[in-house]
Amino acid sequence: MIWVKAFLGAMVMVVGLSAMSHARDSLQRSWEVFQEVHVAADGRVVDDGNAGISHSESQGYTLLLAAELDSPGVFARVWTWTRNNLLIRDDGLVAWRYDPESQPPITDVNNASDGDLLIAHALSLAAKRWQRQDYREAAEDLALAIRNNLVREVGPYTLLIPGSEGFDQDDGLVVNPSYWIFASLEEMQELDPDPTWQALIDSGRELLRDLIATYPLIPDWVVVQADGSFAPTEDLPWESGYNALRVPLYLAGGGVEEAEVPGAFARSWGDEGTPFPVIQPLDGEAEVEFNDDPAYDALRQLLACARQEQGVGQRSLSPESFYYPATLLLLSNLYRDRGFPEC
Amino acid sequence: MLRRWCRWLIAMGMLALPLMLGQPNQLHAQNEEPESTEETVAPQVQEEAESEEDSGASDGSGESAAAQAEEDDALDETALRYYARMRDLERLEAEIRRLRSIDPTWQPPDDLFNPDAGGGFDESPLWNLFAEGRYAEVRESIAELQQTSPGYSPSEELLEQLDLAEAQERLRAAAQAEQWGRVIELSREEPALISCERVDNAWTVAEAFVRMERPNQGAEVYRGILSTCNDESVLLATLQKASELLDDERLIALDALVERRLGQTEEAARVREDLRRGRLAERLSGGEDLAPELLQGLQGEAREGQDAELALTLGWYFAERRSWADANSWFQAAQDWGAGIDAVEGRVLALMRLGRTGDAEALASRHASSSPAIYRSYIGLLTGRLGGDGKPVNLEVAAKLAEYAERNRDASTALALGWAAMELEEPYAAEAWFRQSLNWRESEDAAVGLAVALQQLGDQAGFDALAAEWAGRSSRIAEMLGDGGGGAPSAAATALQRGQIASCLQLTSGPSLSGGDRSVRAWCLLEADRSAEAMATFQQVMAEARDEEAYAQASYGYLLTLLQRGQVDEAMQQMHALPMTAEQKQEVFSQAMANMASAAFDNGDYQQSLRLMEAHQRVAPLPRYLAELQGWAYLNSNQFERARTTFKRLDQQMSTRDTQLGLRLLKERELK
Repeated sequence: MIWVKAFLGAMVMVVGLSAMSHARDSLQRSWEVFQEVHVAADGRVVDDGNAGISHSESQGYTLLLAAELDSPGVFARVWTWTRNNLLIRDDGLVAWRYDPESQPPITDVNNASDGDLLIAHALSLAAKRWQRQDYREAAEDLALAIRNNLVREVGPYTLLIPGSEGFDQDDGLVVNPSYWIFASLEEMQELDPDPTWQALIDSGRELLRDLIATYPLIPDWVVVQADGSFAPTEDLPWESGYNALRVPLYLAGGGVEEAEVPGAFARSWGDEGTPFPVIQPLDGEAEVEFNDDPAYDALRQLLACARQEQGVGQRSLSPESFYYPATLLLLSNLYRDRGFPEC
Repeated sequence: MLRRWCRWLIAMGMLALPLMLGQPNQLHAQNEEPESTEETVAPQVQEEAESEEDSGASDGSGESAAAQAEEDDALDETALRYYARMRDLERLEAEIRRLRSIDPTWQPPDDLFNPDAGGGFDESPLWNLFAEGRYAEVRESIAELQQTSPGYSPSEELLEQLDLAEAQERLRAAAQAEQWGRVIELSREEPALISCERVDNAWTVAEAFVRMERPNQGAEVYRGILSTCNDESVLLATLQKASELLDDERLIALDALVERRLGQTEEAARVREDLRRGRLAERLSGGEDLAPELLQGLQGEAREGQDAELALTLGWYFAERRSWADANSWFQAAQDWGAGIDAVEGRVLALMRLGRTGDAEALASRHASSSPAIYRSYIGLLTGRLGGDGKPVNLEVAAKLAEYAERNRDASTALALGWAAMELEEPYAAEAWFRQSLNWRESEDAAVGLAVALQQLGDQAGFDALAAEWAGRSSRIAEMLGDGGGGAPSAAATALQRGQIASCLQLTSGPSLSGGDRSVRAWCLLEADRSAEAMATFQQVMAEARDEEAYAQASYGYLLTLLQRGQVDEAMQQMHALPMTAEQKQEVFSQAMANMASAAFDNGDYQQSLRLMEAHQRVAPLPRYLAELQGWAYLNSNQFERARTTFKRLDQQMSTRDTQLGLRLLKERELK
């Protein structure tokens, strides 16, 4: 079963008023804090909000940040661990879940498609940045494995299967809209020129448009039925939660204009400095769950910059933040510096 | 010459062909050939070479060593530098001593700890990390050095060692996750993974081929090890590994190869014999037949050594396959060679199955006192000849049986004797045997027998006392009460009591039946699983019942019939209208539910079983055995959460093998 994040305990609020200038330095400092707190010496990225396990996603995010922020040493270290411990599947995809407390430590050999995409994306960037043929070959192998194993036509859509096992249904496919990492799909297209990637990008945009026309927010998990209509899944929570809150980030990262989606999220997220709504139920019964980790503010700030608001602050990373919001902060600030440098 | 090491490659192209590492002597020649790529030799192997040289020197062969030193004026310092890089000071010192013993004037190089490797960079810190297994950090350092010092490139040796060490980690992880295709791929990418020093990798790759249903290639990998490696323990362990995964034919071929390589050393003979016998033992409870070659070999071995234990195992092997003549011969042989009572047990069984009951009985009678199994066979054989059920009773047999029954307090033999006495129209003797049987082990069968005998004797007081004790527990005795109690039972009732359902149905098939016999017929129909007719008949009996008790009995039968038909809800409703006390209803009903739930479970109908247990729970809590069954029914019908809750609760009340096993299976499933 693909990971549903659980964050335990309340966060200690450490509000460092963000610097208005020197954005680049701030990002670099945040990246150093991240390495210090979340990346182990052996190259394993530890999800401290999730009982200290690791997964293809945490490795993928870190590799992507290392490639984007020009850290060849960190990249080599994290890639070595990932390759030696997770890249062990027969089909060339990446096993998604590693629990150091278990023996053997791989407790679910299934893959998670967003993890695969992130790793392939990072490898491809790293290959170009540091002229590494070995990274390029690994990126190509992984891209091919994704394209051969994880793409399915359902109704009018070309869909990304969330994991190679367990998502097929008699009448459709369970998908996770937040697995469409548009920047990664663009990178795959450049690396592996094949029309499948563009079809995935187009379908992902269409899927998000159709979902936001149907529901108040983008769900974490949804069934796309054979006729192209949507339905809640049988066993996963019906909510817009920790997964879906990345969707506006990925739209910004890929430079994709789908104004309705970020608009809906921005309205639901409320004001900077208040606890962040991390789980918003879609059935109207359960209560919204909030998280007071200040790193989530970076998501709000990114959308504010996109709306060309004035005087938007910039969060830098506190060592108190858990791995997941820390990652979101780094990516938000990266895309903000790149897309809205004047903000 | 200095290094005698065997490292062999499985270039995967080779696997399709016979492995090129053929005969041991050819291989020897290959090994002695010096080769420059041998820089990556693993330390263990050098150690071997080292100790050989040491012993050579202490033999006083200094002259020849000196001569050698003259031949190569530069000593081979590869191992020395390797140990220095690995910071293995103990081996480094030993190597220095060894080189000095060859050339006393030799001095260790100055740059031992600061080798001029990697284009002028000191790689020692990287080697230190490497030696600690911190491969990711070595890669990190290399990447950082390459960024800060554009001239730097890591030494070939470092990269080679790193590639190998990391491939080793990947191979282990892939095998642990049972990603066998990846295991094979990894062994192709890094052929150095497969060597005699890393023989467990070769085993893993062999297993991967077998798991991928490519047993020929798996066998080729084992063959590669067996033809190439020299260490006896490695060869024997490989044979054991192969035997866990390969079929008889492939194993026989590998076993022959081991025999050629090792000859008849004591250890080899022992291991190979254990393997053959282990394979025989594995097939004792079914499975494929042993390959003829293997079976013949084992038979020869047994004869040659007059091996009683092996003969006995062979006897059971044939018995399992219903080859009773062979089984009998081997049991006989085992007995002759001293296997004792175990062999007699086997022989009695084989003789019985061969139809030689006279021989079987004669043998069994001699040994009946030494083994419960033989005793049971003997009594079985005798009881078979006792007669009854229409056949004349054999008095001689009856006398023998009586003797055994008395001596062994044997309730079931006493029961058989009771019925034989009834057949002989000796109800007093019958009563005595039934009472004896009840004394030795209480059973409904014996109580029914006793009730019939008491009725025959007209012993109303005795019958009433028995009925008071048993009517609540035995439907058959309750039915005898319904018959009017004390009056001689009808032929049909007797047939029902003795479980002769066909004759009961025949006796009650006429058009005009007494109320009592109609009731008997209804019970017989229920026994015969003809529930529709049973229901109609019970309804008729209820309609015609003259008293409360007869009505209550028939209602009870009606209720059971409904339950048998799976009409649980209807039975529940009807029960409230029946003339029984609440307590009776509850007991009767929950008992009926329990029986049916167990039966449904045994039939594999877990949903039905669960429904019945639920119905049971509506009137009374489940008894322990049924609650455990409920856990299993949940588990078998994939209702894992409920199974877990059930087993957990039961385990907290009292932990048993079942609750432990249930919880463990659930845990394993979760991990998957």
